[in-house]
Amino acid sequence: MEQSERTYSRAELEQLLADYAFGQLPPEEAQRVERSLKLYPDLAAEAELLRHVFARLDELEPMRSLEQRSRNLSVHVLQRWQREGARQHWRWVRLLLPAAGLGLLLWLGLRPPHPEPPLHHLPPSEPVQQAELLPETLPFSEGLLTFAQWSAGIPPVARPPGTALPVTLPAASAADSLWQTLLLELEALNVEAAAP
Amino acid sequence: MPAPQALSLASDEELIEEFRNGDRERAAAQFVRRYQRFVYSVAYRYLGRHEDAQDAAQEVFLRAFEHLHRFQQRSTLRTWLYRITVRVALSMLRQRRRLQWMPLSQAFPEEEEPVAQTLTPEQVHERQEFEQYFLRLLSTLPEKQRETFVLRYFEGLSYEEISQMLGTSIGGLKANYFLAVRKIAAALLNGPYAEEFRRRLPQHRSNGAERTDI
Repeated sequence: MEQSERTYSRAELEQLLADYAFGQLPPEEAQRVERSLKLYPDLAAEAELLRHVFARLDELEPMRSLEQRSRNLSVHVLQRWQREGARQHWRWVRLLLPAAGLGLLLWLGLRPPHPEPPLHHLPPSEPVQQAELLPETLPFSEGLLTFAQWSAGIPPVARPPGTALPVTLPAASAADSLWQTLLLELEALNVEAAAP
Repeated sequence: MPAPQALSLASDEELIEEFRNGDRERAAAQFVRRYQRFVYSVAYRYLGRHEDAQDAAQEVFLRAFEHLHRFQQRSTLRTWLYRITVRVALSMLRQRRRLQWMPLSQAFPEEEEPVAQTLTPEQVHERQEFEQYFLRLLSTLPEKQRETFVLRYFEGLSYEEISQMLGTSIGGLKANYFLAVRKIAAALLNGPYAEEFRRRLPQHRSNGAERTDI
């Protein structure tokens, strides 16, 4: 027997019955179902019932309003798409502005309060060497003196601990008090220096 | 000024190609027009409200536009859109948690209907009522049966395509379809619109419809 002449079993027919009733089967398959239904009159009657019930359902168009409600969807979608597309052009600006602001704040907050003295004037090994020679703690005036010596290229002089400086610091009321202090200190050490 | 050229892209492949390398806006417009009813109706079945379905459908198309240039065409556009729609709708449902606490009568609330031009106000009202009843009836079906029925009966999709969308075997889909059709027919013949449906039956069937074997 050829495949197309074989009738369907009841289980197979049940799977195909709705499609058969609604005309959703290809012609060859529909003919085969029709032949098979002669063996199962109850299923044939059910197929007829389904056809009538759903024909009436189609007349009532239960999905009609969905069609109508979705009709203008394309207009809304395209408008929104264009709006969002326009916003995309500004997206980088919107992202970069806060980043730039944050960067500016960080730069202002982290930069040193005064510019460092230019280091290229100093031989690279000397500050290290000088720093190693400094005692652990120095009174202010002695530190000032050491700094002046170091600035003038004078090797540090070993001082016995507790020895007083040869000069007394003046009251720092004048604008040039710092420089004057330095001169006094250098003078006390027999170093010739001139005010700028 | 010449009239704007109508764009009619026969296949989805042409539409995708036009979107990628041609006139994007025209391709997008046709893309939405081709699938708007489908996407809207899927969203509506999940969300149950016109406004929500509109929002979801718009979101679906915007996401589709965003990713269309990477679409590999391993499935059809319709299948791809279906998956996006279900994801969007479920996400909206999770956010709003609306249907969980709603009785079925409120899951598909009566909404103001677009007025059909050719019907009298009474007919429009009757159809609105029937539609609400029918949607509630659909909502009583198990989800797989409901989706299979709507995609097959109203959207006219093939079992192969539905199988890709729902991840169910074709045999399983045919069984689901038949079960859904049987249940809907039984409900229509025994529910509030029974008289309406029995009137149209051939005489020998309508007499025996009460003890229907459906």
